[in-house]
Amino acid sequence: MARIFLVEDDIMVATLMKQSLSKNDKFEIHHFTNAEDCIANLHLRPDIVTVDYNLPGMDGLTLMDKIKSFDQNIMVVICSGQESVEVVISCYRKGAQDYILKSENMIADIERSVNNLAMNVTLRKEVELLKDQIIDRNKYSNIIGNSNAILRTLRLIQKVEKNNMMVLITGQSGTGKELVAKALHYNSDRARKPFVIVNMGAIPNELVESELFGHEKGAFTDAREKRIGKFEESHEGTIFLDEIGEMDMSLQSKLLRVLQEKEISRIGSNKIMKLNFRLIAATNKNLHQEVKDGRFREDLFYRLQGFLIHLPPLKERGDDILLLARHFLNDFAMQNRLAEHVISKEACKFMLEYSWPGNVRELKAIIERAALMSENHTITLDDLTFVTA
Amino acid sequence: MQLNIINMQTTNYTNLDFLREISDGNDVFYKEFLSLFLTSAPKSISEMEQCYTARDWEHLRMLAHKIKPSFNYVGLKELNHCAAKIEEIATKKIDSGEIQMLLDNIKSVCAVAFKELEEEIKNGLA
Repeated sequence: MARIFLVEDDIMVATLMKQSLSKNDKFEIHHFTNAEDCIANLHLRPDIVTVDYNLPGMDGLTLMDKIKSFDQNIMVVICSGQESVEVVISCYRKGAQDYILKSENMIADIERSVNNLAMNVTLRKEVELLKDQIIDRNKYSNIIGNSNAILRTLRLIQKVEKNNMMVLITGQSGTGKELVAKALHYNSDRARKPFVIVNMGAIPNELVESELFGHEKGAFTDAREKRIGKFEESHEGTIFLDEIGEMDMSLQSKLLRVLQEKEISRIGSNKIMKLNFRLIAATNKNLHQEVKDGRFREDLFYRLQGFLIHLPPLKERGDDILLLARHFLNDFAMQNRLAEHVISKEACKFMLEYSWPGNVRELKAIIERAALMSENHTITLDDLTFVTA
Repeated sequence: MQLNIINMQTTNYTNLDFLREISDGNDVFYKEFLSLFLTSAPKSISEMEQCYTARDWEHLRMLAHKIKPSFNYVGLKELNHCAAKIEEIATKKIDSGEIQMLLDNIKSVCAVAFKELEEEIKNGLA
């Protein structure tokens, strides 16, 4: 599909152009009689714009300049009665893709030109789509797996890594939420700045505020020294709030304010600090349900939903289980100077069928234990010990 | 002096082959376009006359430039040449009465051509 703008004040010419181009059912055609209306509609992102050289008000060349400064990729065809070589050259120099002389054959020439350019547009869109689908695996070497589920996740990471959007990573415990957060940070423009991890579930409630916002010396009884909080530490970098579903309601409102204002003040200080950080949050809880149950603020929930990445549980990742198992086995063998190990067919079959409630974390622990237990450098079914909670 | 651009002929002045081809069987478009021509062409010719009387060369040049291709769409190629000539003279701003003759010619041809087109609208593509 190509979106085409016709900017032509001569209604008869425009009517003929529309009729001629509308034979191609892949064209969506919009007609404007002046440059100003065309500019006002550029947000519709046309692929091709045909521009009359002699428009009333703003002339065709000025309009082309405006179109090109809005988006260099928009293709412009100038239609003109001017046969002067200088005019033609100046149109091409200023970025026109084609120049059509308003002659007897104009309508056929326009049709041919727009059809050719539309083919380029289609090719360009296909290339963009393919680029989008190609995942640079070198960038995500820590994320092991080739399953559709994990490739989908990598595509999402790739989409959002370069921008500044807030990201919420959801998924069961042990699915690799921190790995994804690291991938987002280390592939972003903030990679050389701090990556600060805060596990909300691991900090006692009474210390959380001080941990996040810092405090001044003497701000409270135990505040013997000034402390820089995690938000301040993450300035120009990324702060990763893991297990955000564990956050206390009163702190949730403070967090919401920080996210809205991007400024904090240490406990015991009136000085407001403007900060520039990217927030990545993660949770294994169903935050929607938490909102319904009144344990999580609805406004914060929506604020965090900037970009959602859901990590699949290990049991849904098929052959990734074996890829991960072999990866952990090789790592463990190397670190502990053990000989190279293999995994028996029975053990593989069992692992593929197992439910993995502890996900990748559980797999790693079981493989490392099995490597120690195994004999003859082969992990058999007997070496796999599953602990039920 | 009378410009001998249009000879007496028994066949139609207009030629609608181009319009039929581009209509691609779309009768609505075909009739609408002819109606559009019948609305705008007389208006433009009348404006050209007014500009000529007022010796408003720039406006006359623009009008001639604009009407020029529209004659082609209905097969009035000779009138396209008349309009081109008017445009050329208006650009130079030196007229020895030629423009009036060209305008008279356009008007007399159009008087017949418009009737043909009105008839064509009634019949349509069929």
